[in-house]
Amino acid sequence: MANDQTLLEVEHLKTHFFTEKGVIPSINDVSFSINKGEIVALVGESGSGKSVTSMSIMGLIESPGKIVNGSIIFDNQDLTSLTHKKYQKIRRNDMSMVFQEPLTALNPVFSIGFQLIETIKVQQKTNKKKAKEIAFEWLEKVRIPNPDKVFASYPHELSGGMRQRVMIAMALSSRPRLLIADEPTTALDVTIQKQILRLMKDLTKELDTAILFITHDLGIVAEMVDRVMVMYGGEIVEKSEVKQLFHAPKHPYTEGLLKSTPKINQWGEKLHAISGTVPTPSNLPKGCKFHPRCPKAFDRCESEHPPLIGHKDGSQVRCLLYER
Amino acid sequence: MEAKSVVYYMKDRKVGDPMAAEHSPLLEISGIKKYFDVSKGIFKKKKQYLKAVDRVNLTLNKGETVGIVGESGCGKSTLANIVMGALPPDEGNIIFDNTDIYSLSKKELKEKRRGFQMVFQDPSSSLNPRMTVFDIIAEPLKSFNIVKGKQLIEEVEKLLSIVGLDISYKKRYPHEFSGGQRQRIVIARALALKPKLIVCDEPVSALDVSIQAQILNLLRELQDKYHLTYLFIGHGLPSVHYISDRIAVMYLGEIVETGKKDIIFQKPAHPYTRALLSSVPVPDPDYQTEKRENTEILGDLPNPIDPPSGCKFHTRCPIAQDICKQKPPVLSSIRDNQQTACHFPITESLEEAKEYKAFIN
Ligand SMILES: Nc1ncnc2c1ncn2[C@@H]1O[C@H](COP(=O)(O)OP(=O)(O)O)[C@@H](O)[C@H]1O
Ligand SMILES: Nc1ncnc2c1ncn2[C@@H]1O[C@H](COP(=O)(O)OP(=O)(O)O)[C@@H](O)[C@H]1O
Ligand code: SF4
Ligand code: SF4
Ligand SMILES: [Mg+2]
Ligand SMILES: [Mg+2]
Repeated sequence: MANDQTLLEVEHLKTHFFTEKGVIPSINDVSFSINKGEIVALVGESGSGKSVTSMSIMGLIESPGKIVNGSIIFDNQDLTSLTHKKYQKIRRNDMSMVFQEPLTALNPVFSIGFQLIETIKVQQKTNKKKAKEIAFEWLEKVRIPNPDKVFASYPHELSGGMRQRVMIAMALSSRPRLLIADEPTTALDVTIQKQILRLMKDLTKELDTAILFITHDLGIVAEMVDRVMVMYGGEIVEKSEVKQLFHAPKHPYTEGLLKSTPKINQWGEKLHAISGTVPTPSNLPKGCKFHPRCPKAFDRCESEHPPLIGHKDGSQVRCLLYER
Repeated sequence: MEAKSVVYYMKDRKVGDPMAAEHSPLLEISGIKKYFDVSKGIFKKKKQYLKAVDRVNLTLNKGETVGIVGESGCGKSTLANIVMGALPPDEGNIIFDNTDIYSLSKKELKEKRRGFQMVFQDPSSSLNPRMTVFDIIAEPLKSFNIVKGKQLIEEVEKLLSIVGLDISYKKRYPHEFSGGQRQRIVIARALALKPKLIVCDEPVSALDVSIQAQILNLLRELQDKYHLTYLFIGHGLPSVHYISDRIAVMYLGEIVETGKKDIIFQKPAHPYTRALLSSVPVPDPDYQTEKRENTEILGDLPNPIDPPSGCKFHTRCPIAQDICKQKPPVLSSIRDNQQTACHFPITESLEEAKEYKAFIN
């Protein structure tokens, strides 16, 4: 599968949490790849395993969590076997992350300027003066209108949008090759979201940085990405080019998700809810994990676990209906 | 054990015909002002006010849904609390069913409150974790002494099935349920007293997409069945679009545009409404930039304690002129069923604007 354009190749990734109450199988057998400079979306509802996937790639799964199987090949090396120190170096230089709530990633007691300088000093092994220059360069790049003021501010003094701009500056100042964005605009208002999405798109294009864009918003998927992976119950259930996914969704879950999303550009359209509730990893059904909610389920779905099946149009779908 | 998915067609809706309903307002929000005192320092020498809601007028007719949209902090929840009789306004009246609710005594208000109920964004915070589902739903029925004994049990079971929950759930506690199911419990409790009006403050914002659709459909089904009137506060425009008959757009405490849903979404005249609409990500890869009006507004929301002079939107408005900084625009009629507060309302529809864009390209 891998070619010289492949940047990241995740194979058979399985991450579980070994809690006192038992094992939580958060993600099971997740495989996908991302090419250099490409924007790929990971969509799914809460608890489907999106964040655990991203934290696994970043090497940030902590006890009681553990990657129990699989490989994460980034730039021809398997990250799962790296030492803590080497992983840190990769996080500093080659891949970075922005979260939904930047406040969790910023230190409340230090000014934005101080934190930017410290990050850049370590990233780029440079002195304070040079780091400050780079910091201001980046505050401008992320279109912060009053960089001096923001530089001197503390995280809580900034609006959500401004904080996310600062996070993007920190994440991109090392010119990483992969940016993992975990619901970066979910907490923001739509007008601000639009600004941030455009900013991310422009900057990553300029830097040729690939994005793994995690979201539950199909609108963002349509506007931002080249390829989509749909997650359900800790598995990828559909992988597709973005246009294909919207024009001809294959997995009944994807289809249901599209039909239950209200659209402002469609008039008089019916909204079709998916029945039932979103499963959690500790109560996943047997067989196809979607079968209790699936309108197309048939007898085998209750007991047989469908594999990812390739389709002639290049997409892949985890559903027994697509068996040949 | 789960609620079946329900399909609705907008076209078939009978409720909310503004012409038919015009003569029977259920709720009149008139001239509402709420300024919070946010003065700092012990002596509070310089008084500072945050104008959370400023001169808001809105009428809800029987059986219709009025949606309120606007970014966080624009005053939606404050307005909802005022409507609910929970936060006295500085000025203005809330007339529910021909009664000014703030002229009532505490006891009278409690009685009147049977007619209007509220559903919040976070169902967990509005459900007592130590009470069973039965006790939660039975509470209002008991407190108004409506039914007792066997009838009470029957009534609670009926309410559970109305909202699509299994009656066996009545013995369980809120934490045993998912977010969507908890919101159903909240809705069952709100329905217990057979209200006429339900104020919904972002009832689906915290839910997963597939569950949002279930709750939105449930709300519409209940509206048709029980002739409910909704004040529906939303964060996401798509859900407000789906459920509302009329829409009010708020910005920094003021209604900047209001009108029938179709008009607001097809011919928004206020630059802020247009910006909101063009900011919503649309789940259709063929409906992207070239085909779409693309009013990106710059900057952050201004500080509500020190809002811009004149039109509060002038700092972010792409077509602001000098007069906008000086003179606040007033809400006035643009066309039938649409009012806009702007000195330079945009008259071309989004459709026309798109064609114009295609032409200049
Ligand atoms: N630290 C943890 N301990 C136990 N379970 C966890 C932990 N982190 C995540 N999980 C579980 O893994 C599942 C997937 O979570 P997550 O990847 O965060 O979902 P999402 O798709 O919403 O990002 C969830 O059900 C969650 O409860
Ligand atoms: N009790 C209060 N004291 C001071 N300011 C308040 C209070 N409640 C709300 N506000 C402010 O009033 C404005 C409107 O808030 P709110 O009605 O909650 O907005 P929304 O629901 O639209 O997000 C915000 O700026 C908020 O910070
Ligand atoms: S395998 Fe069966 S239950 Fe699963 S999605 Fe396909 S049809 Fe539905
Ligand atoms: S009054 Fe002026 S600033 Fe305000 S929305 Fe209209 S054009 Fe823009
Ligand atoms: Mg997550
Ligand atoms: Mg609110």
